[in-house]
Amino acid sequence: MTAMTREMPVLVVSARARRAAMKKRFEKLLFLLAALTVLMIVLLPLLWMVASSFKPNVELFQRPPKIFAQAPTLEHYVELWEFTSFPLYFLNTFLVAGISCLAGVVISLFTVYAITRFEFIAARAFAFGVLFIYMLPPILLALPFFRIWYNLNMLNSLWALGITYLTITLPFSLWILRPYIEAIPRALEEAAMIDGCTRFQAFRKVIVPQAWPGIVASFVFTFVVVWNELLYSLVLISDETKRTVSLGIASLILETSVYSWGLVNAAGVVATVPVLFLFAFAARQMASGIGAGAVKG
Amino acid sequence: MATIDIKAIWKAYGTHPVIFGIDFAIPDGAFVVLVGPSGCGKSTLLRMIAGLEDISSGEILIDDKIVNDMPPKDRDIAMVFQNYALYPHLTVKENMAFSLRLRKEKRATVDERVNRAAEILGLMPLLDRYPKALSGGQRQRVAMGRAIVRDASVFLFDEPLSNLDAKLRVQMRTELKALHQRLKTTTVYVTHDQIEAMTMADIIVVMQEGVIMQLGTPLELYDKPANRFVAGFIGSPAMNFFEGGIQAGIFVTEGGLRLPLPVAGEAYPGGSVTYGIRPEHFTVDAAGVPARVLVIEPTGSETQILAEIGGQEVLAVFRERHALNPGDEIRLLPDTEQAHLFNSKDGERI
Amino acid sequence: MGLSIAEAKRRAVPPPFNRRKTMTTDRKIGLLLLLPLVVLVLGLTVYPIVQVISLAFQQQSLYSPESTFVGLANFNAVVSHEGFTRSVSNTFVFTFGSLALQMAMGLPIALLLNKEFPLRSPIRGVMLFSYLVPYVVAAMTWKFMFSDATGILNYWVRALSLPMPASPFGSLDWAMAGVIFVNSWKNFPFMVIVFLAQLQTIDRQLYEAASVDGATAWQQFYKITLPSLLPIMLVVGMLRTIWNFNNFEVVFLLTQGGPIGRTETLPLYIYRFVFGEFSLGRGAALAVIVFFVLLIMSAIYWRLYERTQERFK
Ligand SMILES: Nc1ncnc2c1ncn2[C@@H]1O[C@H](COP(=O)(O)OP(=O)(O)O)[C@@H](O)[C@H]1O
Ligand SMILES: [Mg+2]
Repeated sequence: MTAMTREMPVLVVSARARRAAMKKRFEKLLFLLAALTVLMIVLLPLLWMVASSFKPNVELFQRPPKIFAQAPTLEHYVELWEFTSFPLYFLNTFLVAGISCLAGVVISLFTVYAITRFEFIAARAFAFGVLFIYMLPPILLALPFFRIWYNLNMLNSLWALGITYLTITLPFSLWILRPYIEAIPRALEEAAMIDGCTRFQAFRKVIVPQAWPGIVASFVFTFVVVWNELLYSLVLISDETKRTVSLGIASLILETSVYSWGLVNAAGVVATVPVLFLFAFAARQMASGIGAGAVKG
Repeated sequence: MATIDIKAIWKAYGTHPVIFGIDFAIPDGAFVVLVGPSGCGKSTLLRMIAGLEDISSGEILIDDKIVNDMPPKDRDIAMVFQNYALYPHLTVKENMAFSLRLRKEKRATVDERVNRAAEILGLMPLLDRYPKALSGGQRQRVAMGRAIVRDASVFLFDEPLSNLDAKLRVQMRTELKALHQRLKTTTVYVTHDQIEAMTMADIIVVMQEGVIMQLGTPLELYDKPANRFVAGFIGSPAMNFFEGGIQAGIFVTEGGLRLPLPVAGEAYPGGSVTYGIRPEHFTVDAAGVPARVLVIEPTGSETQILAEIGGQEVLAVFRERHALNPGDEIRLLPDTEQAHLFNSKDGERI
Repeated sequence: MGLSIAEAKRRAVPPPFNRRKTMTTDRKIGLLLLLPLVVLVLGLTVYPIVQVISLAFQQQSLYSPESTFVGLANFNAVVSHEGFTRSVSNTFVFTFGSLALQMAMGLPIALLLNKEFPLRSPIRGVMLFSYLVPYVVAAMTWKFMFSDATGILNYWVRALSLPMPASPFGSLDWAMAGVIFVNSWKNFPFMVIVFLAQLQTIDRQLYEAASVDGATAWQQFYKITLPSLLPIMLVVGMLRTIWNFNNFEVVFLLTQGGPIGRTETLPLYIYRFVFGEFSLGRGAALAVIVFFVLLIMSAIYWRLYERTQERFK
């Protein structure tokens, strides 16, 4: 009898607990299903693009459309590589994005360091004001930039395009880097200077490794933004050999009325891959945190 | 080895001064402690010696050379920061070797010096760890290791023990002192803890609000505090104070309490006076003043008694054991030789 | 030695602190580090803005060096142009239509992704894809899916006889909805990121306390979640309003402002003036107008933001 009364409540509680746990598991499953459904909105158009890029032309016109290719082919990729200037567009875009993002990150690094360490009040306000550039309509800046580069005879110059992109990369990397640099204790570089560093050495050996995740983040994010940019390249570049990837695809979409859709899809896939790859890389770098910034010696 | 001279040093942030023309000299090999309540300018002064802070006016000399415009790296100093400032991206070993590598020392020399420092500090098993995998005490040791591998001619410490727990703090205090006795490096040590100052210093500099209140050996400060501030700051438990005046060679409070005077006070012309007596300088004696026991706290080695004298709470400490209970009426006799008199107006010793 | 503080301070005659007659080398380095930014901002922002403002007052053709001062003539011309009111109203419909849809997608999805379920973090990552892909890719895939003869959605709209055109981007009535949708599809993840970050800062104990007090899920959302999201919603709302307002790519790639101007927003209108009709002066005048409209809208948002900050602090 006593054994029973002792056991009873235990049984009741555990049954209730089990029911609660089951309800929780059911809820989690429900959330997962909902999330996957929502995810499809994002993913389906992109999957459709990838799938279509592998379809031979006949299948592209097949009705009703099938999602996956029955006779997958690389012909569109081959065409992209061999018969269009896209390889060149890639090179151009890497060059332009590389220049403007690297310059943007380095200059932001200097700026943020100067305003957080030297207490120039006016400079602080100024750097904050730079974010305002990011709010300006690109079309507003595109007009004078066209004029400026035209006057300097630098339309169709990738350098000019890269410098123009600084209006995007500078404010953006300034904004990303600031919290990273501000979080580094001053004592660290003071210790380095007492240990025998010049200010510059302390910057290189302490600040840069500490801010490394932020540096990677700003480089990647500005790179993605520049990689995706269209308006400035549309306005400043008319020479076919100087096009960026975005401009190349835009021209494909706009110039040909009967698109060769297979080719456009393949170009779209190839334009998307570097962006997603870089993003995944940055996410890993930032997640692994400070340790990843360790430098030798 | 080095001497340090601080000459009429001022520091102002903007136009707001925080250090007011400080002067003192540190002899070669001395362990000097800057002590004072937080915000009094100790760190600022230390950082000026290190070269991390501009000097607004005055001169600092290290080994008779003016260093005002010399960058920290050329001053041949080592410093331990309150939060240790270990480089998070370097291992313990790399942290300690950092300065030697900068000087392009040979690999063998670096290894040897790092290993020697690590042995002294018991860091050998931790050499390959990163700072985030260390306990507070271990980090503290690494910070010290980083300083001693340098063979610098001056050590600067800014409250290096304040982030440790009480037991570790006492232990490190002893180790630091032992280290100094071994290396004999000129040391400037900042703390707000007067016990640290008393136990470690050759010379203590007591500061308040950017001004030196007194400079001297620990015992000088204890025996002859130059003013009421130092008297109250140095010594634990703190000195008891009574406000009053001198009438016919006797100290009298407003409440009518009468206390015998030390010799120095007998000829004092008048005006209000503060009478200071340390808790350990009372004896239970029939010739003393009447006191009522409020609280008794035996610690084993001594007994602390909180008593009421003339309407004021007074602390007394006895080495010997008295059979007392709260509420007991006793008589406490101050040792006049150990009593201190201060001018109530400006706090100066009389 | 051994003075009282007051006495010591009185005796110490403060020397004239040399108010940086000679700046320390350290500060010089600091200024040097700031130099590139200052130069670039002057060259890449201040100078172009000054130029665009001055262009707005000149008769100036795109490729000709000659220009004449014409006062407000450009402003008069663009404002009285038949396309002006249309593109202004298109811009507002596009901007706020997109904002509403982006919010409507972003908020619930952020709330969902804030729940606990398996695979949550990879799903969060993949949810950003549409924000990361280039505008050209976003435009291309949607255009492709609705294209005649090849589009999958085009086929299904016809096959299921859905009450919408099979090629919405070419339809007078549906083109605007189409560009708003693609713009929102592309940009809603921005809202998700920001809202998620904010949701993670809300103290869980607030919800626990509320449920102990008997608040329903809906009440918890209304009393705890929403108020803590409100300030950030305003900030994000302002950013997205500005970016939607400035957006050129989506419309340009999908409809180029058509059909017959139904989707022509101000950036496209400016683009057409300048690069279609080669009138740099008029384009500049329009750009200046756009700039001031944006400034006014930002000011309004700022006021709202400050007011919510006061209420919830
Ligand atoms: N960068 C600064 N700007 C303005 N005032 C400061 C600055 N650093 C310290 N102070 C002030 O100087 C005084 C002394 O500070 P500090 O030397 O850090 O005191 P502590 O004795 O506690 O180490 C304090 O009143 C502090 O507020
Ligand atoms: Mg301090």
